Amino acid sequence: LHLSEAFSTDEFDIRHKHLAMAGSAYSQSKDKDDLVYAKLCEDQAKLELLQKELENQHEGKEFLGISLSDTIYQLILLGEHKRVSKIKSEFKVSDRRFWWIKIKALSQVGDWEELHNF
Amino acid sequence: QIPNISGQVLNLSSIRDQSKRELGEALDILPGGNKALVMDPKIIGLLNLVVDPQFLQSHGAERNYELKNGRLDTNCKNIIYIIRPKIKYMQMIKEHIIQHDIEKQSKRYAIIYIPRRTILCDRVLEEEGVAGNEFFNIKNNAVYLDEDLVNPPQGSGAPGQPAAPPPAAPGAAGAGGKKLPFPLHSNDKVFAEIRDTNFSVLGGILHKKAKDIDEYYKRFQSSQSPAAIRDFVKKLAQYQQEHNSLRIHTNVTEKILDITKSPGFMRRIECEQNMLAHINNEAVERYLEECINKKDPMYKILRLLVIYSLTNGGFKPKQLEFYRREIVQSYGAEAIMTLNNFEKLGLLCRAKESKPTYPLIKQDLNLIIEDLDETNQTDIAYVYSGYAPLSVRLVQAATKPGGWRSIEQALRLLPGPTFEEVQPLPQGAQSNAKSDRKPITLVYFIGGVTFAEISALRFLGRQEQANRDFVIITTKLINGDSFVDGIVEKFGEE
Repeated sequence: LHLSEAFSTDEFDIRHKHLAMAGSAYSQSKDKDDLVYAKLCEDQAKLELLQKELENQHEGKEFLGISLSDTIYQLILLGEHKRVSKIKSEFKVSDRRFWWIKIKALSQVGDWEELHNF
Repeated sequence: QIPNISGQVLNLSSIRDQSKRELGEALDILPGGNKALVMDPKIIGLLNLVVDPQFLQSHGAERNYELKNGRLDTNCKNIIYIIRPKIKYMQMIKEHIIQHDIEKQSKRYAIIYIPRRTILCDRVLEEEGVAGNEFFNIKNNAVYLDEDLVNPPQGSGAPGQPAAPPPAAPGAAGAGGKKLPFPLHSNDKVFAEIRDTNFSVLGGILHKKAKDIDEYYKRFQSSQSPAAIRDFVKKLAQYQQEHNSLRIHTNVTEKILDITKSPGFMRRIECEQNMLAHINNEAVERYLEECINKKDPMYKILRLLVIYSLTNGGFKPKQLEFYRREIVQSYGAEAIMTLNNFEKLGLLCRAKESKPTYPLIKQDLNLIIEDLDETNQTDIAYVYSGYAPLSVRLVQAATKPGGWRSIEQALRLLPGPTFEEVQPLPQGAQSNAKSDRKPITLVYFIGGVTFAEISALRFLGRQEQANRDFVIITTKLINGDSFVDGIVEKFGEE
């Protein structure tokens, strides 16, 4: 399976390639569950692209390899609220989970004003 | 101290003696004394169940080392490795040999493989150019964990690789906060008494035990007749040993109770019991989602999801998709493969058209005992605070008159075929069963047995109506987490 190849390397380009291959392998299947997995792979590829972009913007921060929830958490810590809501809708993050992350992150930085607004 | 296995039910000592003899022969392969034993960390625990240090010394073993990365410095000329056939160990051994060679130390090497030498390992050594030393493997190496527990060599078809080491207490009792390993088996009288109890009654039993010992000391102080003193001294060693062991168990129990009394643990148990009793589905689903959101350990989530899937006959399609996305987005994309593994095994699945079978099985086999009195154990369900392990219920049914015929409906609902067969004695063989002893039932758990299942079987064996003794064989000792661990996909490790 391409996925295990993808996850065992830290090299971004190789990861990306294998993820894409895994995704297309899943999407060719007729099984409904495999199609779901295809979507998950696709999302992951998208997430990693985004994380690379974020690493370029925020020097010294590491994004690659962490989960979507943790990415959102980090971004809230950085105060990137607009970007966060875009990610939320793009990846279909459930409201309840989003609240958990946001409350945790805001109380971490002590941004009580934003917490109040929210 | 090696556990005593010559016990009441089956005398297993002769088999252990054979393992011991084979090990002795293997050690003698390098003649002369002055041997260093370098052991696979996982093997050390097993070895302690078979032989004592004196035995090893009598075969020339001077020093023992744990096999790990890096240099091996020893004065011994002969080095014997006792390992499982793993490639990473071969690499370590190679490093040692090369290191000794460079430093002009002349050594002799031998490898004892447990359970067996593999071609793959030979090839690794060949390629590394260090073959040509002597090798030996032990043939019969089933390991006897305790009086009624047997761990056979792992066949290639059996899941789970290493034989489990004996359960060792976390050793909360060491002096000065140092951790000390403390072997647990039936030689320890206090442990023999408490190990099969439910955690909710543990505190009371230990308290009573402490009072007994206390009273014993007090009685001595009040009575001064020579006969009483003689009696006291006779029992002193035993009481002191129990006292010591009690101290350790009390400490460990306190740690356990810290966990079991925590709100987090209570909620989780409540959730598990709701699922097993097949009630309050909505509360269960809310709790599951909350756990993921809070990013509780993934093992916990997976355990709960598996129970949910099995008891409900699967998830609704939307639901499954939802959990998949929640888990992958919370725990990272590596979880994709883990989820896939669980689905392939059928532990997580989409609900079928037909009705879930679990409620019927639950009813037929009487899996849920309500209003269970944990202090007065009358049913095996006490081991899980109200849930009777299905596996042990099947054993229970099989030992009743009429066997499995009475539970045919439930058996049909369970996956996999069932059959009953009478095994005839091979020709010429004679039954050595004595008519005056209880029959022995051998229960073989392939894939692993949980500690609670063992407790439940022991409980069955103590019941009068069972009128038989149980001996358990298993490929692995497991608990909920280690079961999940075998299926979780791991990266960046060997």
